[in-house]
Amino acid sequence: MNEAVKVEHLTKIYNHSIKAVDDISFYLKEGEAFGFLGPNGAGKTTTIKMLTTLISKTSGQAYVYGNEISSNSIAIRKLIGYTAQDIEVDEDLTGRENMILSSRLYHLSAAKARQRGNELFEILGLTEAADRSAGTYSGGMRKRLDIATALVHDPKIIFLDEPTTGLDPQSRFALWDYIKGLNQKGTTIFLTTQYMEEADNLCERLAIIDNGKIVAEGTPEHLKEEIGGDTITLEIKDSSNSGVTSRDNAVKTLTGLPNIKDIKVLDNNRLSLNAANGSYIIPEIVSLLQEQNIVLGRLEFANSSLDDVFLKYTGHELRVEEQKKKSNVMHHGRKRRS
Amino acid sequence: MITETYALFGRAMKKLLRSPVTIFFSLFMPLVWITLFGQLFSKFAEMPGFPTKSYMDFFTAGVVVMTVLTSAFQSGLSIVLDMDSGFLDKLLVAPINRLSILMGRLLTDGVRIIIQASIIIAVALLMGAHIKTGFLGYLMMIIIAACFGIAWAGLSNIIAIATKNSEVTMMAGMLLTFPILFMSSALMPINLQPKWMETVAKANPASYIVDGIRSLMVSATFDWALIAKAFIVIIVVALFSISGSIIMLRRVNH
Repeated sequence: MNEAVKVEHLTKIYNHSIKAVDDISFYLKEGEAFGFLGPNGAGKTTTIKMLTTLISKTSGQAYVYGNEISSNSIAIRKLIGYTAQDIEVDEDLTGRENMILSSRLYHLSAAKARQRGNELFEILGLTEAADRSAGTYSGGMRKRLDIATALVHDPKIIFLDEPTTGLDPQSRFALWDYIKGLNQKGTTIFLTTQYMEEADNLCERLAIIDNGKIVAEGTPEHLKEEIGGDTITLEIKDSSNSGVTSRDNAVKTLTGLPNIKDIKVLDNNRLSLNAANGSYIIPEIVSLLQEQNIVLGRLEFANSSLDDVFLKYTGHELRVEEQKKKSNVMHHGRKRRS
Repeated sequence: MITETYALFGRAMKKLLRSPVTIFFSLFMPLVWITLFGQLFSKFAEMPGFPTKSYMDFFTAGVVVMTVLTSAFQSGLSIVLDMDSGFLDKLLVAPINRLSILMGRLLTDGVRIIIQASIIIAVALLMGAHIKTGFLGYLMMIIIAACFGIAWAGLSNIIAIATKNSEVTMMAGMLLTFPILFMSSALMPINLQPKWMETVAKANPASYIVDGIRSLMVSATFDWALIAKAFIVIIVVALFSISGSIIMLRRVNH
């Protein structure tokens, strides 16, 4: 097995105190599509920036095609493509001018640059817009142009930092197809995402990262199997107006049931149960709760998903993080991450 | 490195030509100075000990250097924009020499300064100034101005990369330009200045650039001693500002 990326005990501490990435180890096989799944601030961007030589590591080792990131950064830069979460195209230039600029920076001949540009515009569906100013592009088009400019030199591996964050659903699905196409043509892909669906869809293997640590790693199927059950979410109506009592009461009632593997408290009135053969034990749960005079407001049932995997390993929901982030953005406007 | 620099110079030039109005922003104050102050101070030339008969002949070099300082101090804004948009990261992951990122920028500043300085000199000629060394003298004036501008623009880039803040970069330029200008030989001959200002002016790199450019307007032949002094100052400033910018650029993000 050829390793495209090998990371051992990699750590990044900002300003001597903030541990953004905390002793992570993982690998990427050549030709693989690998993903980092985690909420904002989990350490995804910091990891990508270390691997792409944009920031220095604090400790540990990481190799990209055998080149150590701190001692051999020039060799790495020749092999990789990178797109950041923010879209990095020059909006004063046309799509083609952006491509030619990148080609020149990677020392392609003029003829080769033109040919490669046309090829990539074709693959990424930008042929018609190539000679328009990039400032007139939609978000999805700008992102595709950004990716195209990162591919001029036919890199062995491309690092995509949250490629679809901020895109509308249609552009997102289109971009997924392009990314899959690139991977099928042999490009190794390392992407980060905060979307379960995206990780499930694009990644052959993924690592779940939270608070700078990798908490789980494997194929999406394998990770889901490990959960081994379905998820039942219960919303408990509160009769006594304090909520917590009814909820705790429900936890007590359900603990120890043979099919229930795990009970997690989501918030004041919601519980998440992990259960084998979940659909068969729903009647039992309902009647047990009724006996205890606990009123159910709602019951949701779902076959195991990566959401559950995330919940299992981090103890919190990914969705909640996203909502927090959204409200944050609403209150403070667009925040740049440093 | 040459291919890279040329590619980035091409990018910056395209951006400059697509919004040519930026050429005139930093030209506004120097134009006000040369038209109004040139008239206002015209009697200075009658002072005993004043080196030229016409104040315009004396003043033009000062305004050219003012243009260079104002324009060069804006150089860092572009790199702040590139840092904010993330475009700089795109350049930094490419296998290119960091010096080419800076030189692509500085050469564009050089072109901008050539255009701006030529406009100022043309206005000065219309207002009655003379270039005694003729067209070759004009070319040398422009070369000195552009080289000094490139060197000085490096300082703006140091401030820009260190602060990552366009307001600070802009303010630093605005606040520093006038003291540098007043405490040099730009507006008043050094021998007519108060003693302490004379000392400051002699240590001020801008004085040597002003003197070099002025010599081309007022002496009948090239005064190589003054021109050489101007270039020595340019080289010293450039060594400091360009190496400083590169060190800052290598540390960006870390």
